[in-house]
Amino acid sequence: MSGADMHARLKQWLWYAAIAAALATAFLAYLRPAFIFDLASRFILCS
Amino acid sequence: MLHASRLPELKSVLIASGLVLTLAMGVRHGFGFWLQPISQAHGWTRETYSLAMALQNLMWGAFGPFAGMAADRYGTARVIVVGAALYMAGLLWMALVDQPTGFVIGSGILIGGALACTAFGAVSGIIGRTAPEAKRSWAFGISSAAGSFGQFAMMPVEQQLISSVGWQHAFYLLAALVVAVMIPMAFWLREPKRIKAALHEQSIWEATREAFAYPSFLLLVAGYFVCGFQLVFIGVHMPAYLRDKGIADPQVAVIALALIGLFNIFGSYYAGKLGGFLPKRYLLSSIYFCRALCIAIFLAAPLSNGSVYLFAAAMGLLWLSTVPLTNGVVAGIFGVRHLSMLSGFVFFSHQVGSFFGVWLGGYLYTKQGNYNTVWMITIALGFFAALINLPINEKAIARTAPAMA
Repeated sequence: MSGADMHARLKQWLWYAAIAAALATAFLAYLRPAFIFDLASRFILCS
Repeated sequence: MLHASRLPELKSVLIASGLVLTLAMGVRHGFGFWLQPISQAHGWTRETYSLAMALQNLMWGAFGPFAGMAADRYGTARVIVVGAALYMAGLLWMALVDQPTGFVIGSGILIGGALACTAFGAVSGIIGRTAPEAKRSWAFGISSAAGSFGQFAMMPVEQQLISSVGWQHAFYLLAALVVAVMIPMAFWLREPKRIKAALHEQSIWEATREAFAYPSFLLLVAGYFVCGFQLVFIGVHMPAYLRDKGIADPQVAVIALALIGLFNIFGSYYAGKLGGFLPKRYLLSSIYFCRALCIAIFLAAPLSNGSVYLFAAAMGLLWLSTVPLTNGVVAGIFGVRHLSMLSGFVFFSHQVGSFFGVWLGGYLYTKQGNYNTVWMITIALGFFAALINLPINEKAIARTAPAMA
C-alpha cells in the first residue's frame, strides 16, 4: 500500500471516528436525567 | 450578488445544504420543549401551543410548492436567505407574542414558511442540478441524513438551552444561530443566472400539469401521504401507547426516541445510496412493506423494554429513508428543472398525511379508549403504499422538447 493510499485510508477512518463520536455524544445527551425528566413531563402533558 | 458564474461544486452544495437542513429540521423538532413553559407563562391551555404546531406543519406543506417554484426560478440561495429571515422572525414571534390567536397564526405562517424555504423541498433542486445522475440518489441520501442528524442532535441542545437561559432567551439564541449559519451557507448555494437555452422551456404551469397527469407521480403522492401518517402517528402517540400498556418508565420512551433518531440517520443515508443502483420503486415498496410488518410484529409480540427498543431501531431505519428515494424518482421522471416545486407538491401530501395521523390517533383514542383501530389503519396503509409503489415508472418522461434532465 502506497503512502498516498495510507493517508487516504487514515483520513477516512478519522472521519468515521469523528462521526461516531458526534453520534455517541448526542445519544448520551438523551440519557441525562434532566432530559428524561423534561421529555417525560411533555409525554404526560400530551397523553 | 446571489448568482454565481458557474454551478457550485457538489461537495460545497452538500456541506452547505446539510448545515441548513440540520438547523431547519433540528430547531423545529425540539419545539415540544416549549409547550409547558410558554403555556405556563401566558396562562394558556396546552391546546393553544399544540394548534400552533399543527398549523406550522400544514403551512410547511402548503408553502412547499411555492418555495420550490421560487427556488427553481430565482435560485436556492435567495430562497434560503428569505427562509432564514422568516425563521428568525418566527422564533422572535414565538418569544414575544402573548396573545393566543396572534401566536398561533403568526408562528404558523412564519415558521411554516421558513421550513418550506429551508428544508428538503427547497434544497432538492440544487442538489439534483449539481449532482451527476449516477450520484444523485446518494446526494439526496446525504442531505436526508443531515436533516435526520439535526432532528437527533438538536433536541438535547434545545432542552439544555431552555434549562440554562430560560425559554424566551433560548428562542433569541436559536434565532441568532439560524441567521448566523444559514445566510453564509446560502452564498455557497449560488447558481448561475438561468438562461433560456432551449427553444421551448417548460413553464411552471406546464410542469405542474404534466406531473399531475402522470399516474406514477400520483402514486408517489399517495405513498408519501402514508409516510406522513405513519411517522407522525407513531412519533406523537407512541409514548401514550406505551404508558397504556404498562411501560410507565419514561426512560424507555426516551431511549426509543433516541434510537429512532440515531437509526434514522443511517436509514436515510443508505436508502439514498441503494437508490443509486437499485430500482427506487422497489426500495420504496420494501420500506412501506417493512414498516407495516414491523408494526404488526411489534403489536403481536409480547411487549417489553427490549421489544420497544428493537421496534424503535427498526422504525428508525425506515423513518426518513423514503425522502431520498422519492426525490430521486421525481428527478428521474421529470428532470431537475422544476424539481424543488414538484418535491414540494409531493411533500404537501406528506404533511396532510401527518395531520391525519396525529388527529385520527387522538380522535379514535377518545372514541374507543385504545389505539387498536388506528394501529390497524397504519398497517393497512403500509401494505397499500407498498403495493402502489410497485407500478411506478421511473424512466424519464418522453417529451417533444425535453426539459433539462
